[in-house]
Amino acid sequence: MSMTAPLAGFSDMAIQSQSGFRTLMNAMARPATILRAPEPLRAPAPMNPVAAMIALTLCDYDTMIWLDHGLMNGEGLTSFLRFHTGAPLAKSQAEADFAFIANPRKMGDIAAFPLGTDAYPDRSATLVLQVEALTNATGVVLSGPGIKDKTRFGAAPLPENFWPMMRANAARYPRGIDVIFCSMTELAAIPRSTHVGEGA
Amino acid sequence: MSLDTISAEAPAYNFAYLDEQTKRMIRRAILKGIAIPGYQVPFASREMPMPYGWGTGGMQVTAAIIGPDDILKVIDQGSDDTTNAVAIRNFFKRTAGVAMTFRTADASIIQTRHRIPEEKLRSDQVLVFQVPIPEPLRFLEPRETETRKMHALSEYGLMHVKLYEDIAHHGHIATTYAYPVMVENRYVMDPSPIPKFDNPKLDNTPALQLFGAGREKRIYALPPYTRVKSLDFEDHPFSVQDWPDTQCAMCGATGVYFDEVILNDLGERMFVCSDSDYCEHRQEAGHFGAEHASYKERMK
Amino acid sequence: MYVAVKGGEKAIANAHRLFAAKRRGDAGLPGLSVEQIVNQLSFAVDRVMGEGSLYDRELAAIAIRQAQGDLIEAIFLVRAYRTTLPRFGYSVALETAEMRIARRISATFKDLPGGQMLGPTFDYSHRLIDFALDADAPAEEPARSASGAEEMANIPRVIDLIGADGMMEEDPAPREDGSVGDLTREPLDFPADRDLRLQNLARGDEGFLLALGYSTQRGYARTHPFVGEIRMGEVEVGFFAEELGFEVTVGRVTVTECQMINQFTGSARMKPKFTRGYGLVFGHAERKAMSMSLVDRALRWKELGEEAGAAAQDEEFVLSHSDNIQASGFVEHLKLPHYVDFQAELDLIRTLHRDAETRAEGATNREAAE
Repeated sequence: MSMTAPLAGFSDMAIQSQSGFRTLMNAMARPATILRAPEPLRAPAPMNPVAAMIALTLCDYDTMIWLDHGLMNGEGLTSFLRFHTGAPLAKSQAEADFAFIANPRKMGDIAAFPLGTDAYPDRSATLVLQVEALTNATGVVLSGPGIKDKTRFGAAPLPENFWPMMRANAARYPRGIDVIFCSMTELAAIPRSTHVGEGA
Repeated sequence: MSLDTISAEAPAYNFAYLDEQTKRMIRRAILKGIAIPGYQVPFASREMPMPYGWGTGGMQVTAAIIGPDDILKVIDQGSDDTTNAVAIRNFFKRTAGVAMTFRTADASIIQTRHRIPEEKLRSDQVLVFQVPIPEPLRFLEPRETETRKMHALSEYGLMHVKLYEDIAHHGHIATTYAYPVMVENRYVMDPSPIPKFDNPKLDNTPALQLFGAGREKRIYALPPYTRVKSLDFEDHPFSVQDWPDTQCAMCGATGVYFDEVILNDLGERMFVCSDSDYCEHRQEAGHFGAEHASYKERMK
Repeated sequence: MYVAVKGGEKAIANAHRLFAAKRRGDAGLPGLSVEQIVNQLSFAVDRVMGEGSLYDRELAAIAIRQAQGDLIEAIFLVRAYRTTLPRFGYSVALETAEMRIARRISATFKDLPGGQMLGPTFDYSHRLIDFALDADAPAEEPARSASGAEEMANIPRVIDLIGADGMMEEDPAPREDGSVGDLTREPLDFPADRDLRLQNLARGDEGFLLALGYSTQRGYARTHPFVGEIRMGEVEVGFFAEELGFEVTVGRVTVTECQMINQFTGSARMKPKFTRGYGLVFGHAERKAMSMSLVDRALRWKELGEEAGAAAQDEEFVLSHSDNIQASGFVEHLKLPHYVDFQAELDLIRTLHRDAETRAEGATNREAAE
């Protein structure tokens, strides 16, 4: 039998998940700000180390995780997540509390994820997109809560219709999804409250 | 082993008291709150080892965000030394072992009841409010099912009617604390029972502001640089308390929020800064008010 | 002269020392042992377990001792401890029909299968203070039933006997997926299903439920209640262990169950039949179980198509105010300093007075000018 133990999670759960969360909180509170991600974790491919940190920091048996095709078929990845988080896997996008997407180009419509309701806009999904690069030098112009005046933000690779989808997402406010982008070392967030202006 | 010796063994608590599952649940609620400024996110508030109504919401928020590198300041009524502030500070000293400070400028997290510090907060600071009744519409409509509909529809006519009735009756809006605000033109929010004097500090501030209501099981947030407007009318614009011709008796400050202190049974009184750290900082810098010993010395 | 209030920490530490000394009382007297409380103050222990929502006699006794007999304070201690405990899962539903009965009575039938079993009770006693009660004297040995514990463990519930005739409403079906709500995991949301309502009532304050239940008897949502059955005794707690693939018994708990039978005149949707109010509480707690069943029945007005309007029927009102830990915390928080807000109110009153004086002066000046 070739059962191997899953890769290790946090060695000090309380301290490392706090550090990861604090960075996520700052990222969500300051949309498009690119932060160095603490506590990256080696996870089975194709999940990147920052996405793995996010999964172990935020997910548990009270949250449904949805994985895109690549992650779903990652060797040992579902057992890694089940072992460390206990989170059940969502059968469809509509069930997801957290969606992890390794290949954003094939992510489809973000409106397929739970958007919350007018009475409970918090009953919505958070999308974690793995990307190769994050930048504030170019990209769309963003404004809204957490952003002093305006900022620019770009991430790659993304599908062509990504920013139009995010504009539609902002237009549904307060309903909508929130997005966390993560590269191999960094992360940034764009919540539903961010206005997506011209560019990209 | 007898039962009495069992009870003598101190159980080991997790860092910052809450178990990791509870922290994750609170953290998820905080992220949702930040993404929807002013919206009250329901969360499965836990029983804390302090009574509901004594800051359990703020404590749960602080416990979920605090880390070993943080420096915590706890104030109640603007002061670090009031009973509630002392009890909460001791709780975190005991369960998280983090550094504590009285200095507003030195703190990375400030948990507060009823005040916002006078000193302008920075972007690397988080202000955590203790909230007794998070629902700004609760005293106009006691039913959660109804108020939830009003927030869903952004239908706040009831609140405007209440404020206008005040004006008709008293010539003033008669709300002096927990004065409702409109967040990003979408949600009416209760800023917790801070005096309306502090309301302008909520607006467009560089610091993240988190609100925790333990008994009512709600968390909400104001990200930095969020538009927060105190409700008012064109012909009755929002205004804050002011104490014309009043100086702090200890540090001589003006334009701050004052505590009124009764000095004797003849009704003599003096005014001192409500923000104790602000006041002490000024005194250290050589500013003295009329009742300060150094001032009296100088006047001799 | 005014000194900026420093030394609050010292004052608090000393207040705690004074309190510890008050708890111990006269050091010349022997201290209370946990065993004494468990054995001799069993109703206090049961109440603390029930409203503390944690079945542990010793822990409840420790809390009662620490709280100096203040039961709400003891309940609070237990709750705050409970919240830090890891959660392994949910037990399977208790089978109270298989209870090892210590007491069982019905007010609806003179005699019934299994019989009336008075068991230990305050009922039928004269409430005369027993000045001669010798706390140390052993109690007289009670007569025990000749029948074994096994026989006592399979006595049908009265409600099932009536149900067989179709005069009693059916037991409501559980949710399809077998799930039950848990208000310690998800904040209560309105309207709440009956499972959540019952959980809330089971944890609720006995005094609050007693007053509400009493109000239904006085016409505020009258439900014409009869005690179908009150039974108290031990039941097994089963837990389905996923990794084993079968149910294991994790222990036994003593509970009090009250099945209230209520008259129901029928509605457009339902023929006249008897309806149920249900109460289940840890330990021996009949007053609480009965109050709970009255309030449970009153809260069912909507599903039965009854008219509403009384306090005991108002779900948001009842469920939002039943928890004595929330209630006592918020009532007692008024002791905390509020001088910042009071100052704000003082300022407003002064402003209003100034306005009034200005108006009065204006009027006098006008009069003088005229």
